[in-house]
Amino acid sequence: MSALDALLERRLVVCVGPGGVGKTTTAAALALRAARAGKRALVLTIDPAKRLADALGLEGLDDRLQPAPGVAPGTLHAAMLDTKQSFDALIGRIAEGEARERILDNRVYQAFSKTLARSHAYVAAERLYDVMHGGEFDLVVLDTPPTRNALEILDAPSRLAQFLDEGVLKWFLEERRGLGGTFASLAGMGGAAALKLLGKLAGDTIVDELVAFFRVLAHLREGFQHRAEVTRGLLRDEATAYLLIASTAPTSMDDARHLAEQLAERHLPPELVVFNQSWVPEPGADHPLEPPGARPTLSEDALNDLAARLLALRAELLQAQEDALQAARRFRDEVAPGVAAVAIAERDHDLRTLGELEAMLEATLTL
Amino acid sequence: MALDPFQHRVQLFTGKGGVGKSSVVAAVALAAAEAGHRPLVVELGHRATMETLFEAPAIGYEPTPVGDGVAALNMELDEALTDYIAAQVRVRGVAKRVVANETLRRFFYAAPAVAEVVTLRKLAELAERGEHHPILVDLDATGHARMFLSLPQVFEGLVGPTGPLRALLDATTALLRDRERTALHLVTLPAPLPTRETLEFHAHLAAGPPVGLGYLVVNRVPAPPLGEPESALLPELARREGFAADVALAERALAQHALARRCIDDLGAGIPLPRVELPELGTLRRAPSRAALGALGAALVSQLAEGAA
Repeated sequence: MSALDALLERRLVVCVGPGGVGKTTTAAALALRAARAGKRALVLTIDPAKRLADALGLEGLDDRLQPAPGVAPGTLHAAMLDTKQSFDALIGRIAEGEARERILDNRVYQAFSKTLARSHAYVAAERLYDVMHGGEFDLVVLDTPPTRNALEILDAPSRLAQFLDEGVLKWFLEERRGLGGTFASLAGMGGAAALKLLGKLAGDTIVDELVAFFRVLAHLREGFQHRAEVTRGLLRDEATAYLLIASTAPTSMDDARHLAEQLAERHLPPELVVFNQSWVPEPGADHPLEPPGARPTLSEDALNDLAARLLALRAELLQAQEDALQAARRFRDEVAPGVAAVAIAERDHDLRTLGELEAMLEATLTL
Repeated sequence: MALDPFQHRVQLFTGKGGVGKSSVVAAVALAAAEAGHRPLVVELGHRATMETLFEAPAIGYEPTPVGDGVAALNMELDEALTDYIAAQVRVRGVAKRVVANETLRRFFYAAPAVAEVVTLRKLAELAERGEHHPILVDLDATGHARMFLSLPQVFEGLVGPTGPLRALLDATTALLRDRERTALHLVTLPAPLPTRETLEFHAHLAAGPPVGLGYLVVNRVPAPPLGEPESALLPELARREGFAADVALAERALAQHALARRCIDDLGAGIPLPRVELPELGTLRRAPSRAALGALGAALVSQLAEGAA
């Protein structure tokens, strides 16, 4: 079984990689491959990716789980992680009635749930809990943001759990009285002193809203923590695989190296490294470019000149391809020794159809 | 209208990941130093690309010379946070203890916008100090730029009319919106996805809070693979035995080049900013040398000057 197909046997594949390497597309292509193999697959993207929606035959990608038409024998669903929508939906699931209203109206919550970088990780973690627990999917492919700190998602459940730790909440919700403590005694700072400090740093309005926010959260703590705990386990489960997607451009490889190190720090090595757009297919074939060879000599000088020029062009492209594949192998040997790696061909087209998306993973070289 | 690439004190560079933003920032820094300025490159935490590009050892939170008259700093959240707190409580030791407090740390790391607020504070301070000019900020991705620019709205209603955070927000908002002091440059690639994202981002900027826009950099613009007369002969060669694959390869390269030009046309039509087209740096797969970055910076400066002529 190819390393790519081995991934399809997992329950969750987390796609990690720098920006601009076609991460979202690769994630979708992988989910499609699973669906073609009979799985019920879901791809969770972080990008509204209009073209991808087109290729999947969808009007657009949003918070809803939408089935892509015409996929058989399995199914392919797609959804986009929309921070604001997902957060509100989450509050809707966890909180009821007045508590829900109080949270949704809270300004700290509103600031928190808007499109701020850090929020994405929480939303993704929460959404994962939902889709993995619904039992509706055999395979979930998760796209991550194209930032250097994409791995925040791995820490988000733990961080949320810590954040909502009873101690922390109590600490903040301690009666706001006796605020006589001076900053000089902050070493053993309690919540009251902390709030006073925050008031000084950020203003009293923000502190009042914050306390109100924590007050409501305190009631929801157990629900949140349970989910965080389960999601944390899920991300470290044996049925979860990490797929590192990179390109062979130097700066992109630096970012990929950084991500690989972050994975290693968390003892979650990638299962597979994919180098996207890293070789040039021979026209009309699905193998890499062939070296320039002998060509017939023609009677017209102009045509012979052109033919020579085309051979030079072929040689240039070939050299670039060799450099790219060599860089890819070096990366694998240095950063992820022993890990399977595949290189995907450059594309002529935009993956506008399901067929093109499927073909993307056909033109691969094992490194 | 003439655009002096070194006029603005604070210059923000934004673009989708993978467009070569860091190389462009490094190139502009080298050109600024060449022109006699004292440029500072600011990277936002996580990882210092400038260490690779300038082959400089550990770049920290304070400006570090990286050679050729360029300095760089890496915005580290802990340090920036300590700075911010120290400015309020006036005792640095206390600020350090606060940042070292595990609970507060958790809070600051989990809370929204804390990183952005303290980063902007540091930027404003560097701009005020005036030791470096221009200050070139390598923003993480377009999302990051949006976040910075929308910070005042995020905090609207949340921060009272007075207090230190209000003062900070007002000061940094003023800096971001001051067209004399601050410019936001867009960096993109001549490919469909980055082009569309850049057009969308520009439209979003036009609809949002005011920010002075500088120029548009189209990076890695490919040279045409064949000249006009050669291209015209392709169909003829295609009719001869044994050249089908070579001709198909050339046609593919021409189509890719044409697509890149179409993207540049779309960008030009949608974004009324001075435009700079930078070439692909040498062979594709190697980190650019300092000389290559210097040449890139010189190309950027001369194109902006020509555009003004």
